[in-house]
Amino acid sequence: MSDKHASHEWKSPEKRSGKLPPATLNEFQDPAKLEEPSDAARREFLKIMGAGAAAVGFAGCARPVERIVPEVNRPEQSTPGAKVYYASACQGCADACGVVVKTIDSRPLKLEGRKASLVGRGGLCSRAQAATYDLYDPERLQQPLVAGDRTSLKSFDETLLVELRQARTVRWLRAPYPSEVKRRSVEAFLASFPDGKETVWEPIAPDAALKVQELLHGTKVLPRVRLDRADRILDLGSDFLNLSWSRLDMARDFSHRRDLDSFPEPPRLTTVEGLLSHTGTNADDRIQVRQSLVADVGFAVASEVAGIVGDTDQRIRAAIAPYSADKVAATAGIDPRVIKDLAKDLVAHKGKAVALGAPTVRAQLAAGILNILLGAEGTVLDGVVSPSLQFETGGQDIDALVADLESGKVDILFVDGANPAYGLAESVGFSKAMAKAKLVVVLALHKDETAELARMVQPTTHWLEDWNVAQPQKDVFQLAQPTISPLYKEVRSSTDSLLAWTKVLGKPTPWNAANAHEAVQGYWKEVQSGAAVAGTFEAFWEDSLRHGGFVSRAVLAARDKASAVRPLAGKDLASFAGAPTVPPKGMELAPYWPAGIREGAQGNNPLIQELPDPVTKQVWGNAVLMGPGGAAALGAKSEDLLHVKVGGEEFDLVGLLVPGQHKDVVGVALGYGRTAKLRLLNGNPELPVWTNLAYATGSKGMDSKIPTVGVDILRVSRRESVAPMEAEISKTGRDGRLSSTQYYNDIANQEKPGEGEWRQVAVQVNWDEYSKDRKAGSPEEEAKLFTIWGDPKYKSPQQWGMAIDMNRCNGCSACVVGCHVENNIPVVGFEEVRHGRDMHWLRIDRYFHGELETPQVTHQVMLCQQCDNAPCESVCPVLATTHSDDGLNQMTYNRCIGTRYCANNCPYKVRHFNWTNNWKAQGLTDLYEKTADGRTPNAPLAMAFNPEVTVRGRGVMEKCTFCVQRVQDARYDSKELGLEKVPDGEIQTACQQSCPTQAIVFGDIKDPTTKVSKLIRSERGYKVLEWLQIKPNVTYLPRVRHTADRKAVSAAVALKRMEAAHEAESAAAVGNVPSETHGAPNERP
Amino acid sequence: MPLEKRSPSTLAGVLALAAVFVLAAYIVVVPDAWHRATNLFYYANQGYQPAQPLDYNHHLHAGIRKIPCLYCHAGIDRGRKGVLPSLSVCMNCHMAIPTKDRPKLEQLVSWYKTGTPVEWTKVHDLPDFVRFNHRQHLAAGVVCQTCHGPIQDMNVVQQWAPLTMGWCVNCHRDSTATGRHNAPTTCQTCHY
Repeated sequence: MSDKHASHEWKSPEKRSGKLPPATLNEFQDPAKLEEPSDAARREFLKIMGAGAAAVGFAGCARPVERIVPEVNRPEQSTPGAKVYYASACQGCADACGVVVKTIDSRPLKLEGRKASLVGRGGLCSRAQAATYDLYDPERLQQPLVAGDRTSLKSFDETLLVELRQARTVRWLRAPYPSEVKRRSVEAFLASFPDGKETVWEPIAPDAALKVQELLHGTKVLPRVRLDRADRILDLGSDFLNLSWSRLDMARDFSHRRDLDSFPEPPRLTTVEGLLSHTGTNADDRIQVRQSLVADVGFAVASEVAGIVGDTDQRIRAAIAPYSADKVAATAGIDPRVIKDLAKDLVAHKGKAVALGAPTVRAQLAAGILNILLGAEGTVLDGVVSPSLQFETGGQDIDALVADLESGKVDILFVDGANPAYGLAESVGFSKAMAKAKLVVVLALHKDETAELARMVQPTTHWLEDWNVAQPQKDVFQLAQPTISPLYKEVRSSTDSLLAWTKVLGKPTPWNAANAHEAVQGYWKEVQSGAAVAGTFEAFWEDSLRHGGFVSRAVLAARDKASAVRPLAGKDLASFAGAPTVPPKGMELAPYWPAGIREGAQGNNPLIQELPDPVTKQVWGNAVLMGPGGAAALGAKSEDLLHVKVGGEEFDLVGLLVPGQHKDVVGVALGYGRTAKLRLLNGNPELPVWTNLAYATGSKGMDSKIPTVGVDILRVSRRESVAPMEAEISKTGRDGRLSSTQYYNDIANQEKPGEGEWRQVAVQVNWDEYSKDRKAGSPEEEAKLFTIWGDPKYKSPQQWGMAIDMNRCNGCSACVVGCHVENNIPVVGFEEVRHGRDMHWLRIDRYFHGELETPQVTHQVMLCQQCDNAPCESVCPVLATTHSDDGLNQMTYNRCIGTRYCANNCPYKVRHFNWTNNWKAQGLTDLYEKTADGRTPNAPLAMAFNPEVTVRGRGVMEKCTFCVQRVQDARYDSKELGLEKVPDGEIQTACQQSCPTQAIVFGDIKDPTTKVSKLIRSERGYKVLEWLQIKPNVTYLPRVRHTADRKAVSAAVALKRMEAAHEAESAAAVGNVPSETHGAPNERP
Repeated sequence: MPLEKRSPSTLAGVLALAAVFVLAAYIVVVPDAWHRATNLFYYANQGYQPAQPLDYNHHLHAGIRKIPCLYCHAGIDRGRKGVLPSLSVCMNCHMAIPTKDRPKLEQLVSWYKTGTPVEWTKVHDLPDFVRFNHRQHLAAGVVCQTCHGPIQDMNVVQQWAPLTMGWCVNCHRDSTATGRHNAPTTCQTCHY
């Protein structure tokens, strides 16, 4: 590799060192997963061959007969096939973002962010995007279960009532959601018993943050974080882009603050972490320490800051006293000047700097102290005017609940929407304690791990079928309305159940409501009177329904000016800060919450399982993530099967090399290894083999060996799930299996090491260069190829193009799921992804820049570039892919004969081939296909299809269409209004709509006044592989990284030292490449 | 070798070959064969006139009584789909029409009263990879008869037009050529 390419990106560590990556199976090598034709089917085929051919010719019209079944009474204002939008609030997690639900023929099909909502602000995460696949999940519980037997709701209620009438001690455990209706319904129900208590719990909830807020400020209130006001962000392992409350707002503010056209200088995000977290990939500087020392570094920074600021409260001084920069730096093995410089930089931006902590008490305390010292309270943090109310704080905590259960006094335990049998560490002993309750009643969507242990299970509605309210922030009221009737007769929402049972017990229900709808209306009357909104309730209600909630304008103004400061209220901080950590001698295993699957509740959702992790790009399972130093110490490489001993447990799990991770830390993602008998978790034995998308890479328990997708690390983790644990890791000598989307479709590096050249694809530039030369980011001029194509001329008055700002994008992957849902894109499963046969029309490529130990990461959204001189078009023998009048590269599925020439000729590798009937492999055949006993087993999943996009079958090539169905719709709308052109902003592609950071802009590039045209003409705009002369229509804006001044002793320099120490080891890890030639393309060994 | 001793695949091959000969002979002998074959190959279904569960008569309602098309097919100008009326729309008039000694009408009323939806057999059935939209055709002033033929004279609905791609494109081309409309002919007008 020449010097010219020294700064170039590399896609995988193996590519970096010039070796072929592992896990690369040839796309063409093995036969695709095809369904085996049955014996009967083969005989049928022969029969037709023998006798039928001529008959078909004579009959002339042997085609399927379809039926049209109109309603007997069509609901008013409904038009078959027309889109109807409902404003609502997402209930996937406690954030309660505003959503708009698109329905066609009364089927919710696509969730989009609600622009006017103050929470979410038009963005939506990957989990919410995938919610319709939960709703239509064929494995949803459809009938109540009593002792394993199916029954009706009526008899379920009768059985339960007998128990309720005798019960004294009742406990209600539920997942947090800021709904006053739910809270008061539970309260009223529990008031019917002499001893009724509620526990609000979720494994991923910010318990530590709440505890520290109470400790520091006396109230259990989480502040609203306004990152658009932060010039300096210190992230103490918080992974806020993925984990924080209101994470979409934080992502949005952070990206907005990074907008180079709106602010003179970008902010600087410094992360302190041992793993490479999702937030860490977006960091400007990273300080690598053991995960167990993250809080210590935080305290050390605080003690330095206190030294500069002076006049510090005695309580804080006591807490940070034991943490001097020198001492902590020595323990952590970093240069103390890194901490000191960081502290200076933070103090220089006092009032505009903020620290965010990991979900452990010590890290939160360090961050809290720093925020007080740096004056973040009242500027960046709002804990008074409109703080977050997303996580409720009342009731018993989970440990008290376990103690009650242990004592055997609990008569009935209700578990509502939570899954503690999976989500709590074994050491907490929930499952055992639960068995001591006289009766366990689970209200759940699926028969999950907790439901399997319960005697009574009541299926609940999915939140898209139900009424609810939410108050995620003090002045934000969200109203959630049902968008479809419950799919099944014998299901009921938990609020409805609560109200019904309270009524039957003869006790008053809140607002005297008989069901959730009445309760929501009762609450909404309170909202109206509370905010003193004039007018009738009916008008207020209608208006709120239309807008998905209510925010008063007066509050809105106050909220932005908020500057109230909460006083320091805590007494004893020092005992919580504790003494400096003595890290374990050996490796430490740090569990972390991954971006897509998070706490694992959506494990049975194919879109979430096949969503590549933003950092590791792994799908369908977790792995032991090793840093380059750690891998060298173990002598292991990616795909080696490792043996892990941790917390008295042992398991085997595949290893995966992650650049930029600390040498003494291995990471394992939480949220995997579930044991519920659902098809995507460990394979439902009742389904045919070829429908098994999942592959068991782990198992639960070394003895029982229940196969699981990945390994459940929650079970062995501590009460603070992400707290690192000492672990013994060794090689088993066997190969493991992992599925990852990063090893193929590499457009930046040559396929064979030593041949071809490095291509500049994902451009990043440092702020110091960029601030001097705005064009510094654009790729080096390459010799342009000779072209025989002229400039394109399009008839249409408009031509479509896209601009993607990599400086805004943080790689969260919401767009990937949004694209899947909008365009009926199938998932292919573990095995097929290994063969490089994934179907993500839009993928996010992850590129590393720099050295293996200290890389910087750029996320690049890659989709069809709609080239003007598209190379795919010229090689299609059947004209299945051609160019349209408005500049789109169109794909006509029914013409495609599957030669795959186009995919091979595409330099961006964005075309995807249906190697099999992928939808069929998901257990889906025909929407109305009936079984012998008259059931329609596949109906629910087929209802998730977008009827505006063709469902593709085997042998057909497909790719991004720029959401042509949306383009066409907008064109019809404009035409009807008599407009010549579609106005700018009228068309939003699915990826653009759901992007929480607004990184994607779509529009007309012929018109120079549109937003996209302005971005395209931006000085830093560039096109990927422009020198190929194929004229792509997607413009990228490079990532600008605001690293600390290099002349100073910076984090980067300190890490260089660390890197030098492990150079030899890391070389061994990636294949005995001498360190001098790092990155040079070597011959294959 | 006796026929029964041959392997099934050989047998199939022989029969398939025979079928090809029969087909070839058929095309030569039958005068309308080419049209029929096109119908087969292009998946067209011209002249398709299936029996319907309810003996509805367009000639009577639209032809003689002159009920506007959009009275029953309300909403067809708003959505993508063809809209068939719900039974309640029928009952708007039939509420006042005596059913005595009219067994077909009695059936209609009883279906309505028992809440039984009518399972119509789809006549104009485009392949699933074609996205036809009634809305902009109506907005452009294309009348129903352009595609559905003299529907007001049909006792039982039949597919009048071939509804093949060539047939669609011809109309799009002509309307653009004559300057009546600017009907696009790019692939993704219908295929996406």
